[in-house]
Amino acid sequence: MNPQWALLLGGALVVVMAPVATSCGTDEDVSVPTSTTVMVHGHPDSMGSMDEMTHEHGSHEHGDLIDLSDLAEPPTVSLTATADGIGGAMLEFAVTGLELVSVDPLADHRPGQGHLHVVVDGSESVMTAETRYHVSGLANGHHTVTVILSANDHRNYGINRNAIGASTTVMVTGGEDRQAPDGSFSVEISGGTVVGGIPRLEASMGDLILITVTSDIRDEVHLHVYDLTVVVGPGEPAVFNIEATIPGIFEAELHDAGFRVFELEVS
Amino acid sequence: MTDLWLLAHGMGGRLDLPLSRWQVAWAASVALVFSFVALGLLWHRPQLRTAAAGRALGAWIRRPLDLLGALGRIVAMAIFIVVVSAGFLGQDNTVANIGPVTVFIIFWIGIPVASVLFGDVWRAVSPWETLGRLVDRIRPLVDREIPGWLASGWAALAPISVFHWFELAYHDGASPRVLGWWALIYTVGLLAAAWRWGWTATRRAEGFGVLFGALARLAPVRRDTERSIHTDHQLRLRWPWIGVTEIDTTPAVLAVILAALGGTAFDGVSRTRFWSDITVGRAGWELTLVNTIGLVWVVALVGVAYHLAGRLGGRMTGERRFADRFGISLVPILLGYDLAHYFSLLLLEGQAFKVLASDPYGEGWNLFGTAEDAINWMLISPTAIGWVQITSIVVGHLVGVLVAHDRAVETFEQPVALRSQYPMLAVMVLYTMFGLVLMTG
Repeated sequence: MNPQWALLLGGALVVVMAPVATSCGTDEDVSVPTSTTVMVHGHPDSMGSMDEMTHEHGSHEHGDLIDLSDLAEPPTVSLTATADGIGGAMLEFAVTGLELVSVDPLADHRPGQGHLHVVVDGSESVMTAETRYHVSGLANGHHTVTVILSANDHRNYGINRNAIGASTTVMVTGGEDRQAPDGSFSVEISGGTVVGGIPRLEASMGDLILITVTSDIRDEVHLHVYDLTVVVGPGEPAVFNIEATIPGIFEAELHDAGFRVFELEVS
Repeated sequence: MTDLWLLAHGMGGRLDLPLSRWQVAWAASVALVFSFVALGLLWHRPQLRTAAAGRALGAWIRRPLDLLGALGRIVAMAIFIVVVSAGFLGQDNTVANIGPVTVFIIFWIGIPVASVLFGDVWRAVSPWETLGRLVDRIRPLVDREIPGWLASGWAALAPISVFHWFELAYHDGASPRVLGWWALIYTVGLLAAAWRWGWTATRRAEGFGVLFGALARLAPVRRDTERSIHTDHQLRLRWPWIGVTEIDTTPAVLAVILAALGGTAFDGVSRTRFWSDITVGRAGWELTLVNTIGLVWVVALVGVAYHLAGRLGGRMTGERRFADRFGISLVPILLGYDLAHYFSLLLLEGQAFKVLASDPYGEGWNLFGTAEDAINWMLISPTAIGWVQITSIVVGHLVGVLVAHDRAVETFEQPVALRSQYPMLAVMVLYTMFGLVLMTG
């Protein structure tokens, strides 16, 4: 692992995500898988297009998704996340219709085989062929966890335009307290545009920043270079907790709609 | 780690921090003061044209240079083939395909920078040059009359304009498929023209070659192999920048340079708050339309400003080709603009080329062991980027003023020579101030 990579990774680990404001406001320890069924059955509005959450945008043809719509019984995955009380969570996956094989970056695609991609707070966290995975080092509070079925060659399995996956939030306790942010911003998307124009959010190097994006349409917000993608929708704001480690001006865009949402200026 | 992580954005999405007001004020003052001082105090006889010939290096350097050129030609051809094939066969994903980073950063920014440092490298390695010469060898030798649009060089404006439109206006311009088609159509068009009229005539339609060739005149080395008064084919050393005096800008070459300048200026405009207020909430073809209008508007503004100055200068001096004669001043200004806008892109986002070279098609390969490298966003500090930006614009302006002055005393007797510089000076100050304002975000 080279130093720059470690830096990026370090930055990404510090970046923790607040809850997507669903019903998980109480201190419940075990979360409920929120969107498994909808996802698996390929409801178009369920999760946006999760494939591009990991495979980055640029492709509107979803060319890197292996479409399994034709299968009579396509594979499914569900997810439970249980807080461990010491700043982490145990994730358990239940997979049907797919043989999990060990993760080899150079493997070729074989139908019926694959592994899991785990995304914590908008950042790809690990690839695994196990049905259990322990996440540690999380700050107290809500975190979003997503699992996606991936082929041996790391393309996502999908139905229609949606990757097959599941998402949930977990309330982590016993970890470090999240530091109060140095700056908090909120951005509202309504009626197909950004209310009040595209804001330029200003922060200093090293600041912890909290950005909350609300939207009346379902989509994903992607912040360039910091490379974070968070799902947003009605009643489900996208929350970015960012440590400003890279200087410059960075654009965030709404993935499917294709327009800019805000600019983050770190100086 | 995982290869998915490495699809971090190769391009776009990051802008440089705005320059501080005092930096801009400082730069503007230096540019202005120098401009006016230059009028009175500089030399009164043309100096640069003779100096631009340079000093020949020994003949020993020819062989290694030829070898280097041949190697460069092969490498460039290989990259060309990979990029075009990746456009059709690779993942249609801007950051997982080697096409976009190669075209928009390595080719569009890297080649001009290399040209300014080492001379006309594009002429030496261009795959279109390679293919064109090949066509020249195998085509039946028929002497056809070369049509006016090709002979005049105006055709070169088409590829530059189309490129700018894809880069700056079209909402899906960074798609590898789009780039693949674009490169294929352009290549086939060039080769068809070369088959019919020969490569020597067709070369004038290869807009990138025309543009990069003009920038290459700024280099401290030259090695002209054709149409040169120096027929020894040797490498010659000279002071940097002054080689532009050798260019005889035709209206078409001037238009290519102005289009490139206007496009870069629009790129700057499109990063301002002013433009983001206009484009807020727009996407897809609607965004394309708005950006197209903006692009045409800024290019027209830049072009009209120059031609007004040219017409005014023509009236003041009686020189009918005034605008053409002084077009050389635009080349250093264009370089200043380019560096100011794209220097950090080349250094930071350009690193994606190294990563994607190992996996050009997005297939999970790791040919050179670099596929898992991450982009080092800390390679250069924002302060350093800021100084490079401000220095490029100011130095571009200063060199522009110098070569215009030299051209003036070469063309006219005093006192016309002094007077003739006013309109050019005005338009250069205008471009420089505009460039500096754009840098403040």
